[in-house]
Amino acid sequence: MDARQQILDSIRRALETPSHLPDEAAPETLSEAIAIPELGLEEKIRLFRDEMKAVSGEYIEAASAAEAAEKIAALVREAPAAEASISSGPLVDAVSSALSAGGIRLVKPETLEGDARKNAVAKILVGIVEAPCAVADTATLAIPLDGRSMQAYFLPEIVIALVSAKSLVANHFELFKRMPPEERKNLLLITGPSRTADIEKILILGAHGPRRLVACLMRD
Amino acid sequence: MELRASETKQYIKKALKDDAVRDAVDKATQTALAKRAEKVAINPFWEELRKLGHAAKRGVVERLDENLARFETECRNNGMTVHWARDAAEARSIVLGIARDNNVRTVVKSKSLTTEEIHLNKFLINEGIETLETDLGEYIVQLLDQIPSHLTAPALHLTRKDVGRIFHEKLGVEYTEVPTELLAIARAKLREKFLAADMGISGVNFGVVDSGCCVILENECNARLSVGVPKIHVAVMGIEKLVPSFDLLPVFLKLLPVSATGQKQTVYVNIVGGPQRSRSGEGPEQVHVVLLDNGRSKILADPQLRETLFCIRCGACLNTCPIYQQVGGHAYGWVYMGPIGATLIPQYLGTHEGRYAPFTSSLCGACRQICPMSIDIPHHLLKLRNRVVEAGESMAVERAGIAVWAFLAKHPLLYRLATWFPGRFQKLLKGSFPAPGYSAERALGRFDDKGFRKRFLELEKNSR
Ligand code: SF4
Repeated sequence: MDARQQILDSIRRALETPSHLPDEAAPETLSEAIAIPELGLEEKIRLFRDEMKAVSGEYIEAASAAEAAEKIAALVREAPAAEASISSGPLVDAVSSALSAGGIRLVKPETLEGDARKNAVAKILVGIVEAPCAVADTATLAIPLDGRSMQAYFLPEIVIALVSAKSLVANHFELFKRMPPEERKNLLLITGPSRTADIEKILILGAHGPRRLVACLMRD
Repeated sequence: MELRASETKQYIKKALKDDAVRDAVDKATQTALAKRAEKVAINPFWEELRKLGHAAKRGVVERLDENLARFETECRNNGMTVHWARDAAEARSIVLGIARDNNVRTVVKSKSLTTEEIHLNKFLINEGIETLETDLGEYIVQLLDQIPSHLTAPALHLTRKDVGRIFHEKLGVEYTEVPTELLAIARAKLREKFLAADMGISGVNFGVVDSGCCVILENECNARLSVGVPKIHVAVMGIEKLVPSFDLLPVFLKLLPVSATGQKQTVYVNIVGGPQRSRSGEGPEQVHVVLLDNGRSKILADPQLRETLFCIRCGACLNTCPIYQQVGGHAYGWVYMGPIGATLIPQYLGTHEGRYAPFTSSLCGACRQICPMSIDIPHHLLKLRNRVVEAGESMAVERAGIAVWAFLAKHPLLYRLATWFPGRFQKLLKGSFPAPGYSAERALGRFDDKGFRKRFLELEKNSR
């Protein structure tokens, strides 16, 4: 008999005895625990900003693409860097020409193939990316793996992520509810810069991924 | 270093003498507990989430056959290859087969207890495949040829000085004990490996039944690098790791990080539902899921103990356990340790090899209280103690003691004499009676002068 059949058979045999676990009443306030709160835009922005700071991320805001480009350019220069890898997407597209005009060389991973791509992106200090959706409650960026290159999201040391205020959802329940089923299946959720506390529980930012994560909220 | 659960008594003795390890474990567990408590306190729905999590897991486990079959179908529809492994050896050979078919020479691994359980690392290395742990803590313990001493913090028993020494000796770098410098060393070494690896191996925190995808939580970005860079990805998953749907996944995404590290959310949640390379030109072109039984279906057969399969491996019960805090993870002699380990060891390894594990508990109940899945660990430990005794595996002294007591209990006169004697004799001593083994670490309580019988009679008289 093959392994699959044997495992399923032995599970079925095991389950012939019903559980002796105490009967569980359905939790009464359950609906509240998994509810999607009605939050106004400003409230979501405030939550997102506070949570981002709480997870050692950084937060900036911009009222227009031009303002975002200006602030991002300043961050790149401060890094200090003269180039950045970028993700695809409308928010990045909106700032990229201004960034290039400002003298920052932008590398689009999609223009490179295979080993050349990862090796190039890994050498670039800064990544400028966008999150199609973000969760206010935990300051989580949600990026579906929809064919875009993901490398600029996790290979650079400094990642600047553009987020549209309109795309903020209250919590994870809302996130998964809103997202098309096909998109949820291949998804990266990012909450803050990478970290470890494996040595004496001392928190150090920048484990194998980014050391800094800057969220740039676009109010536009 | 191969540990054995049957050697627990020796390990405990050793651990109790090692003040450095005890200090490290104490500090780490207290930090984790404090952070968790902070986050639980600000979540008004914590108890409801626990109930919901328990109910969801119960639903999945009680129809595990159907759920696994559905999960398999969904995974296949998503373009993944699903393998079934009855035991550790079968799982290892499946992974080796995948590696051989694809000429894999280097593997990067992200932290996974399930792969520890099947000793995958050593096996692949012996087969000539370079296999590297990439979680910082796991990397450190791998250099030492140890196993993790905690479910979520593998190197919790080591100090920065230890790590400095290990890196100096094993990696040939200059000694430093500055944590940021130590991390930088590991990061640089491993970055190279990530970029060059042929295959990534991970565990799975949750398999989403209705969507056929694997959810992997982490903080370091090493799982992302393992799953997002090499051409082949293998996810090794215990058959109990399923959750029903995306509707309920957030319940687990809330319960696990808070319980494990006191984080509201882990830094990365990787949801893997199929190969990516043909769409994006990067990431895996093959995704394999290895479904591992290795004793789980046997655990399922017990109508109560099956609850131990609800465990989401957060490690909170370890942190809060007065025994774990004293002895650390290696004392248990297996990859699962602490209160939940104490229930799993005899179930996986049998009542002979695991005969001591259920007794490594004071039955204080702290584990049940803290467990996000509300697993009734103390109850299960009692049941497993029973099993050990019934199998004739309890300690000889204990058996003799119980036999004497049973004899006396059936002979009231002798019983009275026997209980009268210690109270009297004790007066000659300063402290309490010395009990071999026990008194080495603490004092036995003093016998009451009156004893239960006298007190009871008095009570009875007074209440009349
Ligand atoms: S038994 Fe509960 S507390 Fe312990 S590791 Fe499992 S889920 Fe966490």
